Amino acid sequence: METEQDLVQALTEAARLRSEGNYSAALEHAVQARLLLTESGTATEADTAEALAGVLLMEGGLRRHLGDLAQAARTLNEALTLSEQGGATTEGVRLRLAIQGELAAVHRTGGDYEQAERLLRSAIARAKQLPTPAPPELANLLNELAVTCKHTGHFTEAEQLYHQVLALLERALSSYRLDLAAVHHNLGGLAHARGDFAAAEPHARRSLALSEHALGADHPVTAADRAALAAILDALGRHDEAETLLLQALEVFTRVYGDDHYEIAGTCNNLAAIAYRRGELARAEQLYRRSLAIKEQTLGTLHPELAPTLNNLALLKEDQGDRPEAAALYQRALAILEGSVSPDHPVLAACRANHAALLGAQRGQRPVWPGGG
Amino acid sequence: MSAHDHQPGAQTGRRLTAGLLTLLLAAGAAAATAGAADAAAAKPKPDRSDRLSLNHNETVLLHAWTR
Repeated sequence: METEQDLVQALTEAARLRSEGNYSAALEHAVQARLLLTESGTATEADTAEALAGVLLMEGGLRRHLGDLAQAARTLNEALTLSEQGGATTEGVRLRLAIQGELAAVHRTGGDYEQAERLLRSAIARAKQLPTPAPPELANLLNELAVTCKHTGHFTEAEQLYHQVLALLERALSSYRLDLAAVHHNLGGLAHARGDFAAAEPHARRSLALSEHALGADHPVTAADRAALAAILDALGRHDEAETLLLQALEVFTRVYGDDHYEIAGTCNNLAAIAYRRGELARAEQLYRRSLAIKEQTLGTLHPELAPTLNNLALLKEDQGDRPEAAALYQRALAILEGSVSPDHPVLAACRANHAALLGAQRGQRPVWPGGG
Repeated sequence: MSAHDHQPGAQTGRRLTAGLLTLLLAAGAAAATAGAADAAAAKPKPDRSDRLSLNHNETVLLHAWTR
């Protein structure tokens, strides 16, 4: 059947391009596969509906990678609905678990941590009911919940979940180096969020080495590892090394995602912080504003990931003597974070401390310390 | 047998489904059905480079007084 051959070819090509990190081209092939399936006239069959759900899963995942969260959510919700028409075979259940994991990632990326967590806990409970060995999707779901817990500041649970993922990966017989790299990336990120930068560095280096070996230096996953290591090195005072890594990552992100992607926003925030520490305030401000504009455009104006940049820009404005703008930026960061992260979240604590210091300076209690350090 | 096995295209639909699921779910680790084995035997496996999500590390600066 010609359609079948074309379909498998389109999907295989999409998978290959995705694995190479060429997400835009992969998406074109995934869309082509979806159109072939829907236009074949058999998509209403229960079996084929399940196949279409699988194609939509790939399409939704690629749209999330490319930062189109609204379309990713629509695509994945459609996939979930279609997959529910399928049977209770292990493959069918695994497909639903994979879609739920991807949909939760979209919610988490969009800042809806509550919805992400609800979806993940339900899917994890279902995955644990499947016969052993545990399906590969369980590692994905546990990892996704751990990332969500890191965002909300529930670090102890995040750490426990990552160790569960490591235990599952150790039992897996197939290749798992890139999954292992991802967990080390995330454990490094968790230690970074906790302020334990010395503990973070070995995880980040292991992740980068595994990704670089498996995917090459120019893959966006390797670039994300490089950017994550850079933030840790910066915190350890190795600013030049950090800047070099960030600029390398930025080049890859720009090539893969274009100019307006949240990976670029995070990288600009971190490059700005290095410029700020060097006293290059004009360059720092330009980079912070670029970061903020991309975050607002891609994540919305109320997303918790705006807070680090709002906080840092506030500090810079304070140094420039613009206390009203600094105060407004801190207040905006606090309003976003309060209610969406745990009360002891380090970013919330930093914003509160910095805001309190500004208020103290305004009352003339202590002088502002130019440069911030 | 499912209710639509007698319909034209049902075999193709089932084979497609199984093959595509094998392609789309975690490569290599899938406990493929017999139908999936037919459809996917000669197909390259996607790798799992984007299966697990990555978190982001962003620098958050503290006021000199607060450190």
